[in-house]
Amino acid sequence: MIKNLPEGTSIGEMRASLQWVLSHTARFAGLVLVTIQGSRGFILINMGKPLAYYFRHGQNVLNGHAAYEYFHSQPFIQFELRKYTALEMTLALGLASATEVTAVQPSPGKQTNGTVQELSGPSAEPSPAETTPDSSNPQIPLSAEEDGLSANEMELNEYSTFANDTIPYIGLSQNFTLSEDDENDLSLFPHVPLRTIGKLLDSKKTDVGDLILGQIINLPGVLAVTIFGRGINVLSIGEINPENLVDVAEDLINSSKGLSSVMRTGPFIQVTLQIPAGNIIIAPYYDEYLCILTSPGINLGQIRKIIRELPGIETPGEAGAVF
Amino acid sequence: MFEDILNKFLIIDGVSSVTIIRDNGEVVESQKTGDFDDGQLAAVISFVLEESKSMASKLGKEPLSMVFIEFRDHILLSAPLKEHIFIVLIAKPSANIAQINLELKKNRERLLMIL
Repeated sequence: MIKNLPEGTSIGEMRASLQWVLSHTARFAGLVLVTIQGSRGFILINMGKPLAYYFRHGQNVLNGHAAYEYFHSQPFIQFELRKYTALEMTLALGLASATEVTAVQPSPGKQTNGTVQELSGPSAEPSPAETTPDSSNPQIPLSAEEDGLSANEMELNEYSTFANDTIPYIGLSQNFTLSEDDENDLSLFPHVPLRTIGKLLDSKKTDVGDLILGQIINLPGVLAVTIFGRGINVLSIGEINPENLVDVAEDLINSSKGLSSVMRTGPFIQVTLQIPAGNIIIAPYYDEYLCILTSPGINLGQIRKIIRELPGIETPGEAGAVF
Repeated sequence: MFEDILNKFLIIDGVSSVTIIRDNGEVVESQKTGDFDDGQLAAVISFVLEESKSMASKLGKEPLSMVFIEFRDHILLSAPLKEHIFIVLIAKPSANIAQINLELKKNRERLLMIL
């Protein structure tokens, strides 16, 4: 798993608590490659939001929340920061999604209520329910280097490289050069308009899908995102079992479209179900459908705006419903 | 009485139809300004509600609070009033959904009393 991830650009190595890592990576997009007593794992982070946790010790693999709790139980973790371009992040997200290492977004209560899993070190065996066999990846020893760059230094030193790498993905000419001011303007990248990404990478729909899922899952209140079509789940991120949803979601879409036989509705834009546990939003996405699960109380107007910006999505009339 | 309450929805800008239906597709009461057949509409909506309930149950066996379907030219909002009975509103995409929801909250008890 780890060896298949994009290499990225190494920023430096250091040692800190998980809490410190998460609180100092608000502008970091890439891989936190973790080493604990010779065993390795990673956290995939996009602008401060952890997307996936993974840790492997021998034949045991911790995924998602189990890996998070293990990292959290360690007073310090040795790690290397590897910054990703937009494309590298896309590839890493695709791998993480394919191997179901998507993270559970830990709630503050889980970090502080004392229920963190008691694993004193890699020698402690995780419970069978939380482990999966994985014999493909040999352990790679990593030297301990405690005087790496701090996260802040990393941003200042490496940001211009990252910005220049990102130029092709936001629709600028390869010959375009950033001014010195722009190179250090953290607000410019990587907040790329989704529609722009879609136009540029239209021929790489799966890559776009990964990128879009990665961006939507970062929205406050979004629990899971999945793309499905013709009875098959194509991509998914978050806490969701898409196999349970695909058939019934397609039936719902088909019956919703049946309204067109009774009245002149125009093209189908989306369907939203509200249940006490949250919202389910389904919208056409190219030849497939995008399904977003949110927590209750989320701003549906914001989600609808994101959906309208997606490439391959039919846009509603001039005004749009007001929530 | 029914008419008075349903008219409160119909006077909201953009709302063209408000219908009370049973989940078997039977129309209990309807007020509309559009030219569609509310009987046919109720029949189709009953399928939508059935599928919506199936989807909600797949995700946690929870009751449905609201179904909102958006097309380019119309939106449809449906919410359960009591077991097997739903209110269904059709409006233009420019309609204020928050205002419709507010009116729904304000009049739910009165509707339940009549039902």
